[in-house]
Amino acid sequence: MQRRYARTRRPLVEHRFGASRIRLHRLDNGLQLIVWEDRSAPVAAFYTWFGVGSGHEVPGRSGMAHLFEHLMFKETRNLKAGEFDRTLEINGVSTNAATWLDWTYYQEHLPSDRLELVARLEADRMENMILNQEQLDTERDVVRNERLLRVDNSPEGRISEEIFHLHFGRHPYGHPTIGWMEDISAITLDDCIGFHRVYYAPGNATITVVGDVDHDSTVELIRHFYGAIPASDPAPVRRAAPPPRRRAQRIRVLKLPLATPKVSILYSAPSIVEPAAARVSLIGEILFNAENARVRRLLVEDEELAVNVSGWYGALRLSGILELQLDLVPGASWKRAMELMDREIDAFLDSGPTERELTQARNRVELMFLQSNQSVGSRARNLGHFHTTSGDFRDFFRSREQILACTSDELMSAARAVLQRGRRTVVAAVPASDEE
Amino acid sequence: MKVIQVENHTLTYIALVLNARAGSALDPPGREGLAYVTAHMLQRGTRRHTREQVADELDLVGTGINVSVGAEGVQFFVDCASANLPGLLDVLSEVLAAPIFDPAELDKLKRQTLAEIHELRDSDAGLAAYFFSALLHEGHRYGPPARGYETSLASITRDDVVEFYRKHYTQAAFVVGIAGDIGPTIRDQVLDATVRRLPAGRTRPATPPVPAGPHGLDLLLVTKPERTQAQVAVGQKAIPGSDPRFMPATVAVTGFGGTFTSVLVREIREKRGWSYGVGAGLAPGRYTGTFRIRYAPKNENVAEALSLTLDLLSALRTDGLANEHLEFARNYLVNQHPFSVDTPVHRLDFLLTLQLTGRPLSQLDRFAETVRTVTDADANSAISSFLEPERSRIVVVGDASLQDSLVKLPGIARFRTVPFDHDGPLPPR
Repeated sequence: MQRRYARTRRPLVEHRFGASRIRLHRLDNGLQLIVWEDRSAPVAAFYTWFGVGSGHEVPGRSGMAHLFEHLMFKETRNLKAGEFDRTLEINGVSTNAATWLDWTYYQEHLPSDRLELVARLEADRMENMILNQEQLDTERDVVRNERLLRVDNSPEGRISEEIFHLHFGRHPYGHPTIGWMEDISAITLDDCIGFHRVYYAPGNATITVVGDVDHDSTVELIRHFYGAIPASDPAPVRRAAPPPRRRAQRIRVLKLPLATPKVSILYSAPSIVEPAAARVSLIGEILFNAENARVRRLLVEDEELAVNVSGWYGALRLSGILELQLDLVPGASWKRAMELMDREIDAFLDSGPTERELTQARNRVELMFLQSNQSVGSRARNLGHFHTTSGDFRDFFRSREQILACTSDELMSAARAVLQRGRRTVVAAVPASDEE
Repeated sequence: MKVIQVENHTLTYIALVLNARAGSALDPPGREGLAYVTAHMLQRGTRRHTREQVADELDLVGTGINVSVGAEGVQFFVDCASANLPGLLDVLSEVLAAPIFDPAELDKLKRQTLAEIHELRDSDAGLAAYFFSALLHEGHRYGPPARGYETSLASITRDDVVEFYRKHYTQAAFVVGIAGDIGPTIRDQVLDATVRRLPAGRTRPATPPVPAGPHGLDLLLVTKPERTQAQVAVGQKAIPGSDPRFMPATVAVTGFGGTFTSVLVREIREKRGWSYGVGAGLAPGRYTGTFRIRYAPKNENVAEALSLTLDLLSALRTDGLANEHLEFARNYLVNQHPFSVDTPVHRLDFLLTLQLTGRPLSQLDRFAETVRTVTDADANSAISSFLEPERSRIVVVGDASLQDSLVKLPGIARFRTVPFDHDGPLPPR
């Protein structure tokens, strides 16, 4: 153990959280590794993040990042199709993956004594993946089915796809992560091979390991399995385009086979790298999410126009979003609901929050922080999301500090910048039989 | 009353889970939805605070009370930062022991619940689960949905709610779970503020068993317009969690359809690409369990996917699973088990499930050992002892045009269709 420790280089960054130390390392080939030791249970999470999501795709090839995520579970030069999952599952390791606008990640939740196995298999598929036409065709069918499930036969999916497209237009966030159906069909094997070469290099990847692991041994293990993977040219940097500035709000009404009307509203918000980003969560709590939040109380309890109201801040790289959802009661007028909501928002912008509201919102965000620090998986996701999106995992902890320290003036400054009616996008989905 | 504690000081966080045997199986006929309404009325006004004031106090401690109502029980889950526990207990003490059941709030809650019933119809997967339960438990207390029907909801009066609360919210009905950053006095603080304020009460008798249902395949097509894909649920009544066959059967079901590389997933998704999501599970009820398969194929694949599923189930019953799959399942279950107990809340959940399904709590620490002692013969014998593919209950939520192909499936004894917004018990077979 002493010898191992001596060979381990000092971390690039070390962050303390309570009694824990979270450390970042970078290998010579550019691969980054974040380790958070926690010996409270014999489990660990191993997440591999690539800095590529649907926001990196080119026109005509939407869905590429997500389809590729499916293909990563197929075959390598050392493992036949199906062996990757089978080997991990038999060892009690659960696997999954996700693709979004700025990233793709691959997750393993493992008994901590299986760390070496996971590192070996993950390094193998990063370096030795095999792609062929048959795999592409089968997985394309699965993805088409996934699209039918998540979008075409889901009102929420249809609304989400529509509002992102309407709000962002040709911006990198304007097309769906799962891809347009015709684009999914058009993706070729050459596209996949090129995509892998450009984006699945160690210099574009970060591994987050959280749980019952020894820091020094983990660093050594990662060096052992990943250190020889050659570095390659850096992935192309995305144009940091701001979302289109609108002069008036955009509204679209969808007639769908629905039982109840639903409204989605998208505001542009600060990106994850801007100081005001964290404050948007507080706005969401005060107006929409708290038990007694202003808009929730008005629409759900006082006027009984909605079953549910929520507001969610999306911490993205190129532009943040504040997305609101109003699930209305049958027969309710979405225009009336919007009118009342706007009146309430205007009143808030005039008066600002009370001290009690601000305390309540801080307490709610603090509880969410505690909840999200319980399992090793959610901690590995938080570290990876921030590190891949903002460039520094410590922003996860900083955002909490910013929220706890946020003053009423700072909150109102963020609220006035975000809650601009003229710049928002609205999609209302109403039952096909609706006259409105 | 039973209390289960999990102490862990890693985070300054505490979770409370109050379970009461006051679920929808106790709803009187014609008053379906009563258990649901009663549970949700508790935080809508107390002797000292209005609904709005209760919500405001909960916001101050940064939390909300999550209420879920099932057939056997009601669960109140609430969590907070440790420093906020005294404030939370102040609210909880009133909510649980001093609700006033304000008539205006009751009328509003009934309207809101009715709106929720409509809203749930916009989820095809939700509809499949809803109608599968209705079909599997047809004629039994577990059949009606927790929220009730439109007509039954309307008929619930304040007197009904007060009587239900008086009868079923007693100390004897509760199992209390406390997890997280708790010291030696927290247990008494929590109990004094909550369940000890209720009358003692008596233990409720067991729910009658779910009947096996008639022979033959029973298929319900829930029609919904403009569907290009269907939600499918296939299953049957199974054994309760306390049955000695439960663990061996769990091993078999895990190998059959419980993981990404299991037999069913390989056949439906990997080989044929018919469905993105697919899986099989065995749910441990207190008095009866449920075996259910689910997936979502395109319209053109629904009938062939069902045929294949029924063939696979027949083979499972007749031939059992090969050692390769069962050894895989044992390893998977044993090695995954640490994730069932890795956080205080997960550990508490596991213990509560054992308690609520009539199993000894010692099963948590003996889990790996128990799974390892399940032989191939045990697993195959357990699953074949209750699996009856020819009596499967099948729900398909999808386009009406599926009827032509579904009605031709071999072994169909009963075929019914209902629209997706059907309200009330299923039409007679």
